[in-house]
Amino acid sequence: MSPTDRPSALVQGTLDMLILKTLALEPMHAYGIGIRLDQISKGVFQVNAGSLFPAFRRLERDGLIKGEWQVTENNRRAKLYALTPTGRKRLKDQARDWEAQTSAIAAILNAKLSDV
Amino acid sequence: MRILRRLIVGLRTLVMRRRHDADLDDELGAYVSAVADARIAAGMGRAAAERSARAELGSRAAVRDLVHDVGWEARGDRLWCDLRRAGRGLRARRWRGVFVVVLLGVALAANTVVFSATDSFVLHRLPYPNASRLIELGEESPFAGGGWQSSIFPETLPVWRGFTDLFSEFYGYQTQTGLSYVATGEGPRFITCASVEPGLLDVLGARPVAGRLFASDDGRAGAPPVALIAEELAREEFGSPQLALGKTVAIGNLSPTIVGVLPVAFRFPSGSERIWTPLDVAALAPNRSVSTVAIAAPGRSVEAVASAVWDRGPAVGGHASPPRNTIKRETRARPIGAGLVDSRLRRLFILLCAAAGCLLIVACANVANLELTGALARARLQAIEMALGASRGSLVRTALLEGMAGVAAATSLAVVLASSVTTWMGRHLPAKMTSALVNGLDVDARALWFMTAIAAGVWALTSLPVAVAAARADVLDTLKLDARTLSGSRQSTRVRHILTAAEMAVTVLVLIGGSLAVRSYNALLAIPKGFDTTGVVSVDVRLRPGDDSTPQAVNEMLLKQIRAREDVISASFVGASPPATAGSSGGALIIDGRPDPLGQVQLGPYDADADFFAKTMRLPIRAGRDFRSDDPPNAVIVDELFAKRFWLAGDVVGARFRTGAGWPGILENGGYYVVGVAAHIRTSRDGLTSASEQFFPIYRRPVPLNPFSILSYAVRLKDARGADNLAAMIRALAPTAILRVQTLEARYGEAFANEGLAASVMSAFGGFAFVVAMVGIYGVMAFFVAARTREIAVRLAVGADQAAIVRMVVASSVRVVAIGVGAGTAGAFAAAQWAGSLLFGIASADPWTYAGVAVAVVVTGLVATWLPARQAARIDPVIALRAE
Repeated sequence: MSPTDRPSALVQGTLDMLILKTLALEPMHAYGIGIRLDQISKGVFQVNAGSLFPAFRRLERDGLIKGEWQVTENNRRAKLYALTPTGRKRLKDQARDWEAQTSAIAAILNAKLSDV
Repeated sequence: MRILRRLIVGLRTLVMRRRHDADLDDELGAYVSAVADARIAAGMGRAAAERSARAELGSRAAVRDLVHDVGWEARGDRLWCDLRRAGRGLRARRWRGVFVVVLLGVALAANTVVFSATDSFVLHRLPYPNASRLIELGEESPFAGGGWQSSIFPETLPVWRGFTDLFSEFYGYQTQTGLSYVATGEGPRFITCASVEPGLLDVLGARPVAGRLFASDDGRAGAPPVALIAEELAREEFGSPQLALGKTVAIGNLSPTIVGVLPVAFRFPSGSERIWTPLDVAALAPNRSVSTVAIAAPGRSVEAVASAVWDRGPAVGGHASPPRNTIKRETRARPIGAGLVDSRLRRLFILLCAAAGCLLIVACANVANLELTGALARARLQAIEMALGASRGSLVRTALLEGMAGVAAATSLAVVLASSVTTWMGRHLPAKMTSALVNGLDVDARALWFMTAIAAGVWALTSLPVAVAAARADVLDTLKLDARTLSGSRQSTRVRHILTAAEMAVTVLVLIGGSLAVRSYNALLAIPKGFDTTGVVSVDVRLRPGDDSTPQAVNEMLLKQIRAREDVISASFVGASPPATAGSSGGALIIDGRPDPLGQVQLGPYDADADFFAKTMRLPIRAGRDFRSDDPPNAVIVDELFAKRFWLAGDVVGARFRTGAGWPGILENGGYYVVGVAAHIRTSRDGLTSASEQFFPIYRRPVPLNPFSILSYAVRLKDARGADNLAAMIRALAPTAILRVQTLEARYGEAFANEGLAASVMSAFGGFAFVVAMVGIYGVMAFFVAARTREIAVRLAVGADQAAIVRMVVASSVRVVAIGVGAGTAGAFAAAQWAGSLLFGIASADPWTYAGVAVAVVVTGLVATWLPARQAARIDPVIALRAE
């Protein structure tokens, strides 16, 4: 897939949900989150720092995640983000909404005349 | 809850901005290290890994900006940045900033002053509660163009008041001209009084600053006489409103006690009344008339009341004592203030508003031009700012904010200017103009709203070109071009030329208007007066009623003493001095022997004694004869124009005619009896009244004096400079009298105060617009030359002579000037057609005025261009090119 036709543009508002999901697996620092999104999406979503950091700021302000400075396995200081209980609840709500929407969209896209 | 949380978080972010930034910086550092570690682990060399990690992050400042943009507080932050930038921009303008503020300030002030004057003079809002439901009753002549008379007979007033289905309140009042001689603390003064029924002032919303209003039995027979006075009178005469209470004023031969003081802002029935006394309608003689104020009953519209009054009028008229008029008049109702504004004054003020608007346009065009010049000069700076990441939006915002700051400063200046000019006008405009105002002449809330609105318009007009330029700025193009070529670029030059041409056009428009107004005013002043005015002064002596000597005795003594003076050629007793039209009376003109009324006329009386025509006025008798001592009291000498208008040549002498109402002794004797025809003398209404209500002077024998008469004399002196000595003598002879001595020339000048005001305001506006436009064209051409220094240097270097350079620069402005002058002249021509009826003695398309203004503007415009052109021709090519 060439870079131009990769669907790298995230659907508006989904980045926050993806970050929440990533953090639901385990607390992580900024670079780790970016890499994890890249890995899980198999390179479809490559999120740069210019999108990540404003998203952290947004989520932190809304009280959905919480950052804390810790020392990593490489013996470096890094700010580890973890989900708050509010964040966990929000993720659950958003994931449910998302499932409902995507299955509806999929149903429409796969619709045949005989189904109607 | 969520909103509160966001608010708190935002505030905390603002307060802890530095800590947050430091934290973010640390985090970005950790991010770069983590990326680099990952690259090294993947086998990249350390240096290369770190470089690529930094490249992946990009600009730290950019990421920081993106993070800053999260949250509501970011908007305030951006605004603060833009404000600071706008402030820097304004400071950098220096003299240009000051010029802009002064220019806009003066233009805004001019508009505000004209607006508040228009508001007071023309729109004439009534400053009373329920103003839209106030009604006055009056009588209207049924003939076409018949005049409205705002009064009814006192005996019908109680009947009308009884119609509670029409009126919820009904009151009468009178203004007392001739009774208004007041002796207060300081000495005798002439003050206008009004008598009002108790209760009327409450309805009109009067709130005394001291004391009380009238009680219901004030003014009844047997009640002690009381009066209310105006606050300013209380301060002038007694020191303060409180001190005035309990004091007395002398009105005629009464001395009522002051029981209340009304605030300055209260004006009724016009702006000239300073004393109010209670009126008892029942005590009025049946032949007096009384004015009315009524409030339409709830649920009744003013129109419905008016039509009901029309229906019931004939029945009510039956209550009146025998009709005194041979001409039937019908009672009508109309909203108060309906007839106060005459159409000439309205047109005059619309014209002044338009002129002030033009001035504003000139100022705006000039400012936009200057700002555009400045903005283009700063285009490089803006391009660099954009290259460094400033958004287009922020450049436009800065431009708009800079404009707003400038306009705000100009508006503050305008408030100060407008209020001082308006205060000055209130004091110095002829009393004739201001006294009729029910609204004071001041910068009130409406005027301030108006100013704010036009200031917003000015802001849009002046900032728009700059904002557009900022929005369209292109980084690469701008940076590639050098500053000088850019500022002279074809497109921006065109915009500036259009602005300059518009400025010239509007200037020409205002200048032509001003010139026509001035020439018309001069023509009004220069019209032949019909008699030789040199050395004639008018003397008005207002005697104190109740003094021991009778007016007759004083009159004889004064005339004898005046005539005895060596420097006096002749002196006559006159009812009023020309060009006065006071005391006129009229109605439909009926000539004996002709069945139908011939039209509506007003006749103004001048008393003529034996010396009047031959010696004092030197006014020729055109037909018939001068008065004789055995003439009956109804004998009159009519004006030549009056005779020509209504009689065939020759048959006027000996004719008899009536005009509805008349003076005492006229109707009883069968109407006016014409013994002669005098040459026309100019009155203050000549050329200014509409054809439906014509005014003519008329001469009668001196009528017997009553105790309140003003003794008026026309005195022909050998030299008008002797007027002061004459005044000193009369003052010594009648020390308690109020005296006014004026040359007739000065009285004629005063009579045309409206036109004089229009002429001076229009020419002041024209002059200001002219200077501004010339500064504008000079600025544009100077900039044009500066922008083309390099090109001119090259031309000179390759052999162009200086004359050719001057020609080139001048030629580039000729087109602008020509287009502007052409458009302005055409606009002025169209406007003058509309305003033509305001002009006197000069055609609205007067070619000399148009040509004169056009030539003056073209010549000055070329001179303003020639200066920078000469500068251009003196450019030393070597120095100019080396500087590049």
